[in-house]
Amino acid sequence: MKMNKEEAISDLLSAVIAILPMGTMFVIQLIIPVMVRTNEKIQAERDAIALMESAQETTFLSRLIPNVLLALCAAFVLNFILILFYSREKKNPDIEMMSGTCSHFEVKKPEIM
Amino acid sequence: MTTCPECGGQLQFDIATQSLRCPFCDARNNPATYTAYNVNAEEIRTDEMDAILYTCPQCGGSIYSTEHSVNGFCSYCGSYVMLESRFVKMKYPKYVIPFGVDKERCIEEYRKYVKKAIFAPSELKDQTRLDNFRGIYISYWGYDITMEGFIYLDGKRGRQHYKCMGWMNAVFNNIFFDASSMFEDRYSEQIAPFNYSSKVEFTPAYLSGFYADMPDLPDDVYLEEAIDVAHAKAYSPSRLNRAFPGIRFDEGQEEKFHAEMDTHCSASYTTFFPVWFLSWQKDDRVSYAVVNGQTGRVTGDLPVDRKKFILSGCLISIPLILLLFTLPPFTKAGLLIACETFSLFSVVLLMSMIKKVIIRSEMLYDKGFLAKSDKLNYTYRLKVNADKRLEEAKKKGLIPFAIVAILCAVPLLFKYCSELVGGNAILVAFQISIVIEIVLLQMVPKLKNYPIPRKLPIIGSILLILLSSLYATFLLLLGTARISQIQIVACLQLAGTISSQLIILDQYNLLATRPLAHMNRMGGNES
Repeated sequence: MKMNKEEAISDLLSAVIAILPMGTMFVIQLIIPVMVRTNEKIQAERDAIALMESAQETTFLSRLIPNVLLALCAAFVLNFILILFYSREKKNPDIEMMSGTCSHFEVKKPEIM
Repeated sequence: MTTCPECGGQLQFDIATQSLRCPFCDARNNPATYTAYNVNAEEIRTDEMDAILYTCPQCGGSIYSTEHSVNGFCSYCGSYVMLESRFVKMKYPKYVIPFGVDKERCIEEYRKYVKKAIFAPSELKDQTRLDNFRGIYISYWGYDITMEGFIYLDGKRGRQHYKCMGWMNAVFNNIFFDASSMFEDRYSEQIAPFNYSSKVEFTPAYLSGFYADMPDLPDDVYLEEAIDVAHAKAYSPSRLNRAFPGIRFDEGQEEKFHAEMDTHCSASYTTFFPVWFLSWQKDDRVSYAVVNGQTGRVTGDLPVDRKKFILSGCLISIPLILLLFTLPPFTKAGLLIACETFSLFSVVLLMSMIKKVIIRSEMLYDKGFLAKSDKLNYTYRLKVNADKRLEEAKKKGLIPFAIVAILCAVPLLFKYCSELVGGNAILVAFQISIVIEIVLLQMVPKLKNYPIPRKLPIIGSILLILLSSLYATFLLLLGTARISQIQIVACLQLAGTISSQLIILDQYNLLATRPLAHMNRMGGNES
């Protein structure tokens, strides 16, 4: 009985874990477009003001240093992705072949009850 | 020594013909049956042979050979030094797998391997260096495991439950683990497999022209692993189904199955495995290249050249800068989000690297190294400490990443929720800065085992990112910051991020190399 209860809880948990990400995604897909649509106009206005402000306040020189540093950061990140890609250590599938051979295997008087 | 019976010249093992060849008179001899004419009867009877032990005065690494002239290069530390030599008696291994890949093919395979590593130092591809590839026989312990016991397993056939019973006995042979503490387990795993059906009884003739690394670990170091391998093989459904056809065994019965088995090692023996080996020393670090001498499979350390890394970064950044200037200027929040995204990527990568360096420096994954480094207590350390510490290290590593993952998801949700109240971009920037601060604060305690010279630049970089991130948080909360102030903060944060990226590179190179070894080696079961 105890085992059955545990099994039932474990099955329920597995089902919840399996459904949860899909369910969450489904809810997000439903809610977000509604929320975004209602505020599209306000947001567009706010973005335009922010863009205008920053365009007025920024000069070529004031943009130069952040842009250079930002580009350098991005380039280094790309380099790291390349390095991590070529240096990744894959599990050698052939390692199993080092794990010996079976020279003898026997089950005497096997019984199935 | 292997001298030619025809002309007295030094014989060499010829890989192409798998014979002992005299370079002077071209005479061929069978290495399996060759006996030197100057070998005395006593030597044939024992399992020892005359050899020369070459020891590096710099690192203490020693290597056996039958050659009288060995060039002044140490395969362990990559130093060009005169190796100290002395005549010794070398204990035979039981078997040997002869070399099947010659030096030319080994170099060719290695070239292919390093070709893809565009940031690897040019010296790694240098022909003079590649000529130092040495054919070394690495010692492996081979185990034959015998097991017998009563099987009592639950299973299903269709929907019907059954009990399966019987008396099982099985023998598993040739379960190999490397017997050298110098040869890291990960190398032996990466260059596997060796086809051990081609192993032959060892004779000194196979050593001609090659070197040997003798076992310095006793055979019981890997016995537990060998037994585990045998258990796993015995418990395979395909094997058990031969006796119990059609039965699908219930899960979680492995421990019960193993507990019923009387398992013991019926034989353990050393075998020489052929490996081409090369080391490269840079400052006080050394990196290795290892090629399977039978199949040509390659593995090795691929450090990154700092100059190449920075130069390519600068080149890639030029079109990116041009692209950024063609786009409209960043808004305050946009600029901070861009900076903080890169900062977040860098600090997470840095933390992961630091964790790996700590695990690597303790060599928790290498049982051979642990056994050698603490010879008296190795059994305790292996069984209790190492596994536990490795598990703990892995678990500790998961918690911060789980926190980071959750906190990264939060701003994304807030991004949409905050549409109702406005200022979504500001909120995203704020959230990312909080995440960065948490990651950085978690990183500090991990540095306690780092030596001070290595710790200082990391702390400097962390402080720069942390302070700029805190300042950004403050400005965002204030809500009245000017774009020029945000630009200054962004520049500080990006400077900190770039410095952290260069530190990541150093950490990566620490992982791709190892400190110069100072070996004090002992052979086999010697104590």
